[in-house]
Amino acid sequence: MFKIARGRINVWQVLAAIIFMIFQVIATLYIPNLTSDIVNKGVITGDTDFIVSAGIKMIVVSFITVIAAFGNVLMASQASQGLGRKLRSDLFKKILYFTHDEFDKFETSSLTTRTTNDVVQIQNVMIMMLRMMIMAPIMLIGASFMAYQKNAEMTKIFLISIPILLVLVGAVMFFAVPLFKAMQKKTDCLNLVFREGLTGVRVIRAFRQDKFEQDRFNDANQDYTNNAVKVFSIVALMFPIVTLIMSGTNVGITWLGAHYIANQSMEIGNMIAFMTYAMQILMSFMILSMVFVFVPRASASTARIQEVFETKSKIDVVAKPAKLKNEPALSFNDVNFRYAGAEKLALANLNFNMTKGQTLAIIGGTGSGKSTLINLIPRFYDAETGVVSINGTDVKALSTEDINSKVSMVPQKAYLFRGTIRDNMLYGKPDATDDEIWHALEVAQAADFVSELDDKLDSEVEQGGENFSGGQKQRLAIARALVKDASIYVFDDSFSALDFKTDLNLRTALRNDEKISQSVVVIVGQRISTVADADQIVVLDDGKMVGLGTHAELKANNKTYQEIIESQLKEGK
Amino acid sequence: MAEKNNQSPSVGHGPGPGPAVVVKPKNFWKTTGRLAKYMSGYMVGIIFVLILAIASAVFQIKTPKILGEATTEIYKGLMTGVAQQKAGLKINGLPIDFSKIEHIILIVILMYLASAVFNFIQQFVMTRISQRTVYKLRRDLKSKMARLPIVYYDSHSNGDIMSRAINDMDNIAGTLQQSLTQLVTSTVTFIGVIWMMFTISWQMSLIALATVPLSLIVVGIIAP
Repeated sequence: MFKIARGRINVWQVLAAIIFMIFQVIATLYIPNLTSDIVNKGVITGDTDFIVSAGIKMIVVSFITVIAAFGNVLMASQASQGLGRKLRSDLFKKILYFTHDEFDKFETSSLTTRTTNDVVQIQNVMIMMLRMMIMAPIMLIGASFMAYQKNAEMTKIFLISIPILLVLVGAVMFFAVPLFKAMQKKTDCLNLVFREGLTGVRVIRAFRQDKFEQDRFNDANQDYTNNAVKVFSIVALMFPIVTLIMSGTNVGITWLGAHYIANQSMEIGNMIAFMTYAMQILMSFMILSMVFVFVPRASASTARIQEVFETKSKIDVVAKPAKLKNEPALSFNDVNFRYAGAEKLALANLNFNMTKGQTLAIIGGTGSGKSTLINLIPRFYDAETGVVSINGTDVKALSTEDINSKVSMVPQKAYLFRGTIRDNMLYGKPDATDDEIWHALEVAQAADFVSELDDKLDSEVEQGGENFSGGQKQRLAIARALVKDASIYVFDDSFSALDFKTDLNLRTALRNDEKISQSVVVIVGQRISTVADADQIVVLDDGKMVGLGTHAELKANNKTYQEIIESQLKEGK
Repeated sequence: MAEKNNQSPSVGHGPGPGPAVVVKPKNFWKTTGRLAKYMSGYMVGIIFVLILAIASAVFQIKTPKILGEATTEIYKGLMTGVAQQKAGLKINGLPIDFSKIEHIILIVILMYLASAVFNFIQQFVMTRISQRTVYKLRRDLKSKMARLPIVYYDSHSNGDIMSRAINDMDNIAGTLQQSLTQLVTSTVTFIGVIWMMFTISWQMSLIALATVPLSLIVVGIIAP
């Protein structure tokens, strides 16, 4: 908790909050003192002047309490919200530099919960800490001292009420805390099932699994409800218990007080003040016991966040990045790669060398490692052995920013961001002109349908680009990659959703484009027609490079390539 | 207290800078009516809870006054004692009527106990009612999701639907559990306390009430 806050929380705000709080406590403790004075010296003797002057004092002290409390709340809120803001931005920054390895390890949904829910949890505890948890012990000591001063004998009453309070509250917590923890898990479960129902809605409908889904959700729902009923029933005990103990203490004080007053060892005003102090003492104990509930919950969140921070990105920030050359080139030298923890190599012994103006195509069956190969280029993963270099420099010697600026990628699954088409197009080059955008759309064969939209470039794109068809999304994603000025353009099976004619037009346009024809283009494809006109074709089979050459060469003497051609010819008929 | 805090770490409708936007309810009465329909099966339970809430509040109000009588008793003894001393009489201890105080304290303890038990039962029942209601709400939402056309899924972001199904539901449960009984208890307490205050001293009550508009102004400024 403190480790995570260090350096992220504004120390001055924390200090200010604590100072305000101390003033608040002192003022609060002083008020009962004034009350007892008013009763002892004013009411009993009938001294009205004294009552008035003490009353004015009381108003002033109350006012100080209010201001101090306000200052405390203000500072505590600012400090804890600031901490939350810093935590979120640090987490986001950290996650941005994660490689796919780390994403695989945490899973996206868990990273989301960590940056939102867990941070809020810490924020909440921090504000409680600054407002109440630190106040409780100070209040406790202060009120105990004052009460002892008013009547030392009567403090014995706490020897009974405090242990009872602690035991009962402790017992409630003992039973409630594990249930609260279970509830967190059951909430996750409810979340999971419901989310799957949303993301998988098409599959569920297609397979007519509505009923099964309904039952599955019902089980989770039932489970959650039962647990919630249990935990809140136990917690329902808390309030009556605490009220009862406080009231009981009050009754006890009155009873004992009556005796002390009878034998004149106590003044009546002191008894009234004593009651107030008693309440403050018991309240402090209550708050302290709460600490034992909330701190463990926050520490679970802290641990989850800490885990993200402490994950060393496999790809270290390069201390002294080499200078990236401008001449487009891409080469793989003896590259081997395996996924974290895997026994088998995912890619073995890759070798090829592409220079400016050349097109590399990669073909192979599903699971042959095509996308894996692609992911090595922008250093999403690191090669186990061998060297991947772009523009003549090993990617491991380059800064992430440089790599990202020179590699433009169209992922297999086109993803568009919510906003306008223009927003999406500017993603790789924020200062691109409309002409450049239209040109890219033209090349990507997307200009037609975009110009038919009412708002053209300003048309809305929904989350994930769901308001466009699969093929349109693909082409927009391609256009986005083309707007960017890069050395290497990578298309990961990006033409699969296009019909043959559009596919052909697009490849022709790419070849004739001034910017693209001066770069290295990498195309992953399944169709022979997509890859046939590439300068070099890599044939992958089960992670191994089984062929490298032009279409004519491979057609003549590569068995795997021939098999692929054959299978597609049959399909074509 | 603990439950309140548990319900509240809402992630709301997406994180973001600036203050959380409070969504003003549309069709307040319509939605309230719908909620009431969901709860209609628990009418007996709810009435039972309301009666308990009123009873517990009444006890909570009555007791300080009765305990106050004990203090008054002490004060009376003290004053007579002082008067006697002034009159030159020698006394052993002040003439406080302990048997009367004892009697008062016994009643007070019983009332506090009853109030605590009522309070617990009321929470106990209300927890069940609110959780069952939200259970049904969730179940119906899920089956509605199965009947919605796919277009709905495309035009609403998953995050938004999720936050309705999970977060908003939790908020409803929390509100039902806490606010409904609190509303009744607070109303009864408010009326009861004012009545009690006026029976003790109407002048003092007026002074105390003068602070109410003041605090309302403060609340108005802070939470418009």
